[in-house]
Amino acid sequence: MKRASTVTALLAMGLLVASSFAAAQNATPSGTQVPSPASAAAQTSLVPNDFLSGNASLSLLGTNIVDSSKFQEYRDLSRGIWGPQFSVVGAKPFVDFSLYGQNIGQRDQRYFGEAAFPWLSIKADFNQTPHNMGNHGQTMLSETAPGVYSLSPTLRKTIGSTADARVPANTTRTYDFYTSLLGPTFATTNSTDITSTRQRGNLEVDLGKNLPFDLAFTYMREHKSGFRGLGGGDILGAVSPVVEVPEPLDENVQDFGLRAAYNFKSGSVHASFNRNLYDNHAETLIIDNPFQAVDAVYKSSTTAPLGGPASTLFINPPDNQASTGRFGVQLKFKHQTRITGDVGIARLTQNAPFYPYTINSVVLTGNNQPANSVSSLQEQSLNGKINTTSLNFAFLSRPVKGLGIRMRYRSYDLSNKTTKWVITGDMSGSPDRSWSAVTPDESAPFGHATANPYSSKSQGFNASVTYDIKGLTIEGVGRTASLSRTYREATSGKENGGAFSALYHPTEWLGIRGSVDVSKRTAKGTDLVTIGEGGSFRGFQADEAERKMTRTGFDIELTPVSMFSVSFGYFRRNVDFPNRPDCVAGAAGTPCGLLGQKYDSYDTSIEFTPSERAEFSGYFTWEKNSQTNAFGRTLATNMITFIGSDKTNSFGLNAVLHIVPEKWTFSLLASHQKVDGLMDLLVNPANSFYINRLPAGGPQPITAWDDTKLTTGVAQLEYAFSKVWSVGVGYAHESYSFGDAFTSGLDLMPQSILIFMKPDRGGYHANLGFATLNYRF
Amino acid sequence: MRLTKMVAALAALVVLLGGGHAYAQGTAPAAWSVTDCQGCHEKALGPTFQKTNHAKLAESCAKCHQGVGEHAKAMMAGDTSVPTPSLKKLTAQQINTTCLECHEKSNQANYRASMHDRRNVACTSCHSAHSYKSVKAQLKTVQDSDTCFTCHKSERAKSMRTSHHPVREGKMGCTSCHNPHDGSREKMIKADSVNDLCYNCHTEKRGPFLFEHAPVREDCVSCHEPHGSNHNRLLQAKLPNLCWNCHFSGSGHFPAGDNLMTEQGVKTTSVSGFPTVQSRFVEKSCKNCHVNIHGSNSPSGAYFVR
Repeated sequence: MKRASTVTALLAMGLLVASSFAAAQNATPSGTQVPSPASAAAQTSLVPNDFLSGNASLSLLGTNIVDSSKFQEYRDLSRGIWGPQFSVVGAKPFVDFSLYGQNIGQRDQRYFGEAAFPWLSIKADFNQTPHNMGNHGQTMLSETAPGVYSLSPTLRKTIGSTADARVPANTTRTYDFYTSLLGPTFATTNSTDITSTRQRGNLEVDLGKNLPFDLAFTYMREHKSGFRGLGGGDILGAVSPVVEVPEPLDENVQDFGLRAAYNFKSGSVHASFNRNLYDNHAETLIIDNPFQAVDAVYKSSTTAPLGGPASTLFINPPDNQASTGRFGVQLKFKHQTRITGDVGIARLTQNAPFYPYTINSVVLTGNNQPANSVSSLQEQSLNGKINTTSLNFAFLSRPVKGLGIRMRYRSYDLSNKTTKWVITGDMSGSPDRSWSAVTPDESAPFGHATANPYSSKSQGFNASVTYDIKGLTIEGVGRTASLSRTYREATSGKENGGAFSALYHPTEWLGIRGSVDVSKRTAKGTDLVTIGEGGSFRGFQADEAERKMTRTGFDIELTPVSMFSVSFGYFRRNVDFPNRPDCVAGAAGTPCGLLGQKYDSYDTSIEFTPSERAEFSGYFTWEKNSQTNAFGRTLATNMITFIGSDKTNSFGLNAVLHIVPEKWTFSLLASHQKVDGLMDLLVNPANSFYINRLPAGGPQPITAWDDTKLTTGVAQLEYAFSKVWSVGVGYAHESYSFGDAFTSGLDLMPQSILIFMKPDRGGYHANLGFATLNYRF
Repeated sequence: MRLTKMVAALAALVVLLGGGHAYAQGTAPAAWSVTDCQGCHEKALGPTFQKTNHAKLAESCAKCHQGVGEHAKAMMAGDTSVPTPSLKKLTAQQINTTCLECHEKSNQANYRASMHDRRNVACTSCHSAHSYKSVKAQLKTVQDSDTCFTCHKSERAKSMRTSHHPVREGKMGCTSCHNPHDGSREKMIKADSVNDLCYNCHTEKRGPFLFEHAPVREDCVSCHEPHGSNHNRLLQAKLPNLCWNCHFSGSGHFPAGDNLMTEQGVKTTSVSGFPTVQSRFVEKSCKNCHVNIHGSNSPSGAYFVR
């Protein structure tokens, strides 16, 4: 059953033609032939040691102009001539080799090759992936250097002084004011496509062919370039615009590896080591403040704020490194008894030099030092170290017929070994505007809670027993796990659970499978969470909180005749979070945060192959995913309760008709998915911040909660006019739409002081026509 | 090809005349070869099979198909009552035992402990020795994801969502993250933890950082749905709701009486106050300001704003 995208369909068609040729050349003649046992003189191997075969295809593609980047998000469907795929497989007396290529010369090209010599083998893979994140984004700034976005100082002075003069600020600097102020500049903005390219190459050299053990060296190099996406952020000053610009992307990752294994009759031992290096050549993003031409002391005021930075420095991910070593053993015994164990040790490090607190030249630290100088920093780098240790042990056996026993122990220890210092002051509270002293407390002994060197350790054990009774297999599982943490609210916890499953396959035409899995997680700790408004309440964050999870699944497969099969399935996951903290201290019954999650899915699929000349398949899946939350302030009357959900319908259809076998082939592929999102407000009290959006009262739905619709159809007709040549023509259609209540109806940005680029990554209709020529040799 | 058949037929005739007595006594040839089967099974032993390492094995067909000799003897005698040595007649456990005799090492070393083996998934459910379609691993479909989606229907539906890893474009596969043969790791992932797996491609998130977002360090899937989502950036829920799972009250960003007419965007009539203070739902929502949410190495980045 094929579930392929447009390009994959094109590729699949190419390979289908190639394999159909293979079948044609090796078709079993009609009638039964007398088998011919080997004689001393007969050939004992099918594989010749000197041959060359392969195939190649050329395609002509035409498409309408599609503005949305979503159409080619991860692919290159440029108009013109391109090579969808080629393959070469061959052998010489001293080497076996193969080489495959896809989308030759395109931005999404991929190649894979292999060469096996008597004493070594080499494998290489190159994969290039574009990522188009938005077309025609607008920005009124210009990239004057990599990662530096500038605006004319004269223009900034004009804009800034006009804003400064508009007082009282809190009542007069409205949306209309900013739109009018910035509009003329926006009208002359540049257009930028937000796109990146990821190029990854892998090389493996296996030296173990003539050695009594396996030995291989591996090397991976990846280069990412272009833009990471929409970057930038809040530039804090007298006016605090959010300015969005393309975030620069220029980074390399390299991985050097060594792998060895010794296989013996009763098992194997293996070991490996990898050294991974991440180098970021775009460490910073500097954005000019449209409202401030020169650095000035910030004066906070509701009615007449002044000053702030002329530019803002955003710090991108720093260089980091990782070393990982692994050792493992597997022992084999009778009755499928296996004992396996492996241990992995890794060290993550990061010691890139810090950048200064700010690039605002007028801010002084608490020691009256310039905050824009690295000499004012408490430390010059982090010298960060995280160690991880993983242990995995397993025992399994089938001591008697029908009985299977499995036991597994697993441990993962993450230990942050970074030597932290107590931060005495910084600009985190008001970046680029003012310096603040920092006072450590019990939850933040190093000044800020986010500076804590968080560590965790998890251990788990599970055991299962399986029993086969003719066509029935039943399994019972029990498991227990513990988790301990430092510097988080829940310092310890357990998760215990069990599962039962049954598989019933009494005949070739019927298969039934059912399972139920229940687990319960507990949490213990300081359970005191301080919220920003000065209140405090007891509770844990959602990812560490108490949780009850139930998963159930059922599916049935029917194959009443060999040419037809149908399956039905159902799966449900239900998660409850009991004992959530009360939003209002001392007010029971005001639980906050994530309260529950649900996921349900139904699916059905059909396969019908009435003859060798026709294949049909189809599927339908229905899903509903929801989260129930409560959110609010410290007032019980100011909470909202809501369920965010999405319902999804997905279906697909695939048909292949060999109109004239090995001559004319028609294929059709279609898929459709519609996601309907919903934000359902269950409780919307009079004082909640949603009041002006929706009237107070009971359930209030917000639709267009990231609604999407994607429809794809591909039809292709192929004709093999010789044993080695074939041609194909085809048509593809794809349409996509996206709906977001938070942005629908908006004018194209930028507007107001949310200076967003608003690139086009929205809906589209695409029509493609293609013709393909295939050659097989 | 025709010449080869003629030679084989002649050889068969010679052997039949000279060696038929041996078959009549029910003994297989001393060295069983794949060419012994090719006479009848040309399609299964055609060029597709010949490119594989299976074709180079000593005793080739007999290595996996039990009773090849008896089958050949019976067919020569015209006796169709002897069961054919097809793997389709075996149970999943029997098939797996056959394959694992050679393949129980490297990535397949722990298959016996895996969920797939425990659910009686046979090697031949996904792989084909004779008529595979993939470039690697001899799968029955062109892409590994198409094989996986025949059973994992929810993941197929998720992969079609708007925010997705490039699986349906063919740039990644299920096996980019999972080892379907593994029995030692949670969810068969190809790393000791989810985060270690994600760092393979998202190495910039590895850190460590001066300021850490603890749930991020603990588990990427606290916030992300790696198989696909209709929310941006593969997030499990729309912002700011996702952040509200843990950050219960927005830390003062949504004070009482706050005007959220701008919730649907800033194209509204003028309102008192700063209109964009309330526009924390637009575009990246909380991430409009908290840009380095995965961790910050800026000395002013305690709240991930720098």
